[in-house]
Amino acid sequence: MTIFSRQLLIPLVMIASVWLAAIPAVQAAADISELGDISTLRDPQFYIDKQAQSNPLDFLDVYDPLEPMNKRIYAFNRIFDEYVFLPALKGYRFVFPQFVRNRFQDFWANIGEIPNIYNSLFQLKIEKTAVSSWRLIINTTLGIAGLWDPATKWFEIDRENEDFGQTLGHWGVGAGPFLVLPIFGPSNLRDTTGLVVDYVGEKEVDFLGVPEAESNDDTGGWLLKGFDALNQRDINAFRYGMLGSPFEYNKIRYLFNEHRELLIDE
Amino acid sequence: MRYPQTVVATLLVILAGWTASASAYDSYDYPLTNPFEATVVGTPPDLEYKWEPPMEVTPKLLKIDMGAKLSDIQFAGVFGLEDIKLLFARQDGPAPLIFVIAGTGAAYNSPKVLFLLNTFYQAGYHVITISSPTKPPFMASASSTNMPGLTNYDAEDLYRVMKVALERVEGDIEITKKYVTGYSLGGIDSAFVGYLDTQRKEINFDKVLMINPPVNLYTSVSNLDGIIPAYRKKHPEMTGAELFADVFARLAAFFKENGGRVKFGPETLYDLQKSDQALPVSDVEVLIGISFLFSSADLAFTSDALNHSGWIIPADENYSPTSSQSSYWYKRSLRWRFLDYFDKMVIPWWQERHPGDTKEDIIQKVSLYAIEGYLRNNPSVGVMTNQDDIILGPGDIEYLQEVMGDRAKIYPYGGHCGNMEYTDNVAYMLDFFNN
Repeated sequence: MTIFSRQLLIPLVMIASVWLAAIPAVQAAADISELGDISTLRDPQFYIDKQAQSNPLDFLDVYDPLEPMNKRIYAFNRIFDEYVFLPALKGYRFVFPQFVRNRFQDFWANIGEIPNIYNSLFQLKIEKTAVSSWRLIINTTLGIAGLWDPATKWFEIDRENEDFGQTLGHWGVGAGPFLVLPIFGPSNLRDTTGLVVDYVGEKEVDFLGVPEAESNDDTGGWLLKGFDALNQRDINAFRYGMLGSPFEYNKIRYLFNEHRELLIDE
Repeated sequence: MRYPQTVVATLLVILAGWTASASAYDSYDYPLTNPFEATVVGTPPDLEYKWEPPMEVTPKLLKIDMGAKLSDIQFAGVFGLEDIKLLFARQDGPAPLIFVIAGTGAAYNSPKVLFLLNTFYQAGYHVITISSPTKPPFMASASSTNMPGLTNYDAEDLYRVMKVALERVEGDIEITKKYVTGYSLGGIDSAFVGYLDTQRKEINFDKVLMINPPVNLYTSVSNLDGIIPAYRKKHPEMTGAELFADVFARLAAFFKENGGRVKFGPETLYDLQKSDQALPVSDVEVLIGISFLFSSADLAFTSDALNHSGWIIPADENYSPTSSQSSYWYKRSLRWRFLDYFDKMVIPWWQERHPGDTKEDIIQKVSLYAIEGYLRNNPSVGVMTNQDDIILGPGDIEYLQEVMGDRAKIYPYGGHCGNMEYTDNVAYMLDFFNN
């Protein structure tokens, strides 16, 4: 359910922006068609002149053949977030104080070390595999089943983040079409595949019995799903509308894409 | 405070400022003497004004229906609601109420606004924060002109919002005095609101403080628009791709090293600039230029879409967030600099309403010159700014000093709002309102 981390928003914006700003004026202007049909606008000449002196903007493009559907799902997610997710989050935060929520957060993060380990291994990143394994061992024991994170706090072993989408990307699989998943948010074909594989992978390993229990269609299973989702929403600081921009979809799409590329490269 | 940043908003953090007071010019120890660096990184955390003990402020969200036109509601719907959103922090007992107006492109909950909210709340005030009239949600929900940047018209919109907000909270709190302040464009907005209030007398503000306001709006906008072209000239030896790769590598490395521990907000940039990955101080201005570029694009688009003027979106088309055209609209809007918006959209709009006014007339009427008499003769109006503020032009500081005398507090450094959180500056702000 990770949409994307807050930490990466800033650099990505900057990167996008700096690129936009830095490309010298002498560079050949991109085809004016990147601005769509300007003939019905008040002053097409404005864009023709600007195009000649400005930088191409085609780097903003993300392959999105399903855009109309994606936008509808995006709109649905916004409404779902406002009327279901956020009110539930409010209740969650009211019932559980920060200290308790931090324990949940550490607990789920520890369960999530499993995909970090096998995906690091799949990418032959031995150091990362060792780091995530160590973290799992330390936090499961000293951290009492992962409720605390002494690996970070005492041993200063920072968490790695690898998922199957990144593994695919590492071995050269392209992102494929951009997808907005209901409730889960921005993704693409490659990373959606990764989500499914990691879901199965976690269930196979069934660390501490949690993934299996969570997948059950019973009260316990739905309770765990709910907690997992609320924990994710609690951590994720993104709010629809927070960009205050009419181009939120386009900006999020671009940032998501760049963010994934950055994760794959590291 | 874990306030999420956003693309544009994050970069806009850069634009906004935090400023305060020193006893003597030569004893002012704000450490960043490069105005661009100051503007970008703000105040080092350990030099910020400290409250003992610090209080937790939990402002309430106020949603106000300003009667936005039906056609605009769809637009506003992108932002969740057709209502304008404000933050309201209340004291239990009688206290002064202060309105805080955000800077260009910044929202009612942007970091600098929250800083001011926190500061005045801790000082014992009721606080209400308002987005800049240049912020698209404000435009869609509360603008009567959809031509933000025209400070006289913006003041009318702000004044209406403030009156309704006052009605809303008056029964709930006891107000002893009424103040208004704002930084950057919000600074000049607060003075125009104060001036309007002397005509209308419907709120009766006791004091007005401008923080790092533009003096001549056109100068300020030209300075900000000019940053990127100047940056390009400075780096003729690098291709765009190389420059991009350079900045990309710095940021990626910084966030990889510090990813888990980096917090959002102005201190993020401060930390970045302290790290091995720092942008050279000589290049840091590009971040300001960029953030301005993005907010100008949003503004020009929103204005065009709401007014159906046909510059970016065909006049007969309605804005819809699900339109397949939005990528084109986005790219078109990124072709608009603020000065393009002013020259092509604003001037004709104005001239339709005020036949005979030249461009120069308009600039005069939306800049501080237009309310010079009010600024000169009104002891309750103050300004706090910096000698090296990047949005000011030659003679602007002297103008403020000549018109406002000792009510003009000028610091030697701080760039544009970089020293707003600095101990001395906060002390000055509080002293201005308290005494």
